Amino acid sequence: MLGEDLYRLLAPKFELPRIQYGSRIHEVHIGNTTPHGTRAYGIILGGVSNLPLFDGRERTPARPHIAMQIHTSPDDIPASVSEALGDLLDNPIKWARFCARECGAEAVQLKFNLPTRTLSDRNLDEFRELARQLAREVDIPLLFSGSDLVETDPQILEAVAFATKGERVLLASARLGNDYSRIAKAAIDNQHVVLASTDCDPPSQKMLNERLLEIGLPPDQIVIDPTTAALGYGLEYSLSIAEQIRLNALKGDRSLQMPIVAFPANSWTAREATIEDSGYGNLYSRGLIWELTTALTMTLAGAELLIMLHPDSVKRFKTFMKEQGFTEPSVTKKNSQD
Amino acid sequence: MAFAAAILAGTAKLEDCPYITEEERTRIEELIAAPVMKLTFGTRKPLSIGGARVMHRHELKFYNPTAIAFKATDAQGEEEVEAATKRSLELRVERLGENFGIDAIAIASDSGKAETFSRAAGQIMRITDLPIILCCSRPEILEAGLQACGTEKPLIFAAEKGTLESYIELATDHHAPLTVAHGDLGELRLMAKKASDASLDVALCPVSQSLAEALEKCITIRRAAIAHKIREFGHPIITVPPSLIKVSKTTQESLWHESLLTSALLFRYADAAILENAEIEQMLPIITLRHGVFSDPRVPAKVKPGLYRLGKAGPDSPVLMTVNYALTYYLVSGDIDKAKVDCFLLVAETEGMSVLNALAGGQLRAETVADLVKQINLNAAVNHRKIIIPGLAARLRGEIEELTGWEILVGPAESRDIPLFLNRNAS
Repeated sequence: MLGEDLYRLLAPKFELPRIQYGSRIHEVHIGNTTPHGTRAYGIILGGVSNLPLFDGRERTPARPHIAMQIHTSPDDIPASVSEALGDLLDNPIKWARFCARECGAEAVQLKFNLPTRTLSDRNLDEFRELARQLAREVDIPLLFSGSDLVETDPQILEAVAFATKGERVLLASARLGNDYSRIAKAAIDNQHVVLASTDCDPPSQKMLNERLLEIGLPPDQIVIDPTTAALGYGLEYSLSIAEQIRLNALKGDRSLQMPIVAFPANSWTAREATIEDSGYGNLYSRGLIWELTTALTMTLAGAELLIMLHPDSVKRFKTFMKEQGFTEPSVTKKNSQD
Repeated sequence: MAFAAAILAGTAKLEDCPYITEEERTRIEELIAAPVMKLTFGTRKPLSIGGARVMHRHELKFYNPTAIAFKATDAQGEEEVEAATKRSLELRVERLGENFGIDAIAIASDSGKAETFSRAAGQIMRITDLPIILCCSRPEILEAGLQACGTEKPLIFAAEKGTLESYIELATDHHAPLTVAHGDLGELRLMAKKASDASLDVALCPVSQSLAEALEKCITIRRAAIAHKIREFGHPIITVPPSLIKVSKTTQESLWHESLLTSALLFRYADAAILENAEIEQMLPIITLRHGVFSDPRVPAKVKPGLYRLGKAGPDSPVLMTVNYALTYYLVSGDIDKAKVDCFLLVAETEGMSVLNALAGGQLRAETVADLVKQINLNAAVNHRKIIIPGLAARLRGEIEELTGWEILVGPAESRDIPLFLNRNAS
């Protein structure tokens, strides 16, 4: 055995050299306070130069921002979530206020559902009006998404973009399969941010981002969603793809240097989160853990904005992260520059 | 060259090369050795942990899934030890036809009495063949526990700075692997070096106050081993997720805390986690995540081809067809669930390719479907003669009809439109 002295030499405070990638992720703000917007604050995404917690103690780890999902028609909401929301399901505005005040969500995401898969002029007018009303009634940053339909999403998002001009909302989503240039142009004209969504495929994400940049959408008006699969339904692919995209971005791939958005709300599509089965234990607890596990692991893979659904998982996530040494995410305050 | 690449990818073994000399073999083995050593404990049902080669799953794959251990305590009497251990052993989680349960049993010397600890360890040895982790902080108690385990080679958890020398001696005498624990990574490195200089198999426990701190330490340890080749950190990491839980929690609260903490740690390099609960709602997410994270990203995830009965499907229920790529299967079966229509799902073998890829690659042909219909005797399962195929496979319609004599209906191209399709056609 070596002498004690030689061991001592190894003992002083251990640190590794910092990983220097040379690039960082664009800083993207959602929600305008002044001069054109009426939000109480804006959320700040990006600006990072490493994977979360790979920096040692140099950067205090922050929890991601949380945007709670609101639906215009609650058909897709699983029973365990709708029980927790009750009457709020029938009133998107009240639902949004509840998210902001009771659950402490940093933002809300309004999803325009089209149960019949067709969009009438009346639908479009209603959606436009609802977006305006939402902007009047709540003062936190807003996200709007279509119904995941190729034909109608660009039309809806364009209408909403004009109706909320200057508020710097997030429009979701531009996809390779839809008329993404229409969404990008509406975002440019009205100073909004676009969510670029692809299906678990990094080359597609790169292609879509490049096209959005070519159209003239500035990089600080793009955030990306490389798909969040539910736990048990391919979450590991989402985790690997988010890491892969983030590492390529840090190593210099300019078309991928955008903040990542994850959708833990998608966990509610998993059987395990929603079915009553005596062999699976307590349903309420199980559903929440399903959404929370997706939220936490996607955070570690680099997501900075989480779209969540169940009020209790949002509350639990916030408390949990605080207890476990994560700081609050950063925001722009009113009267500061946007 | 191709052989060398296969060796690096872990798909070929050095023993398969007939030309290599003994000396060359030793040298190459050193070169390709995993930067994180593998540690095996238990003899009746040995369990291996460690062996990591990469920081990120997409770079290769993760080896040796994080071991989940249930911790019993010797403080509440023999009956309680037996009841708790047996209960934890009953836990079963099924994923894609595979069954999972607890991987190891830990016993904690909360009583502070050597005799009690030794009795509890012996008792667990009689109840199960699973490998054992001895959790205690005093050498004289550890010795009693090790004696009770005989030749079982339990994992010792854990030597602290003050007990290191005596623990190294005991571990050597009983041929048991040793965990060293410290909150400071410099000290931990020193302790690991002393233990491995004594020719012991070593595991590391970076003691932490919060999840953020624990993750940072696990990441630093793994980076040190893999990127910086610092050998003292090239050992498996043992974590105790419940020790990170703040303030006192009710049982239901500690369940979800344990679950989340364990999931985060298993994603970030924990090779074992010692838990205080073994309830299904807490364990199901952990094991589901582990199954995914430790799956090989180079191999498409597959489900078994055949006929799946969804809900309470009977002779009059519709039959839908899809392929055996796991993500496609999950998506389709999930959307059928949403439709709340009981169905049969016919899953064709496409070597784990999605519908589009399998059509392009030739894994999905009319014959594939026709053979499957015959093989599983679909005639006997339903009264009607109709199969709904994916919209993307519409061009196979005529040929399948010819080969099977069944009526082929073309379903939606997108899985998410299945509920709409089923409900429209049901009414």
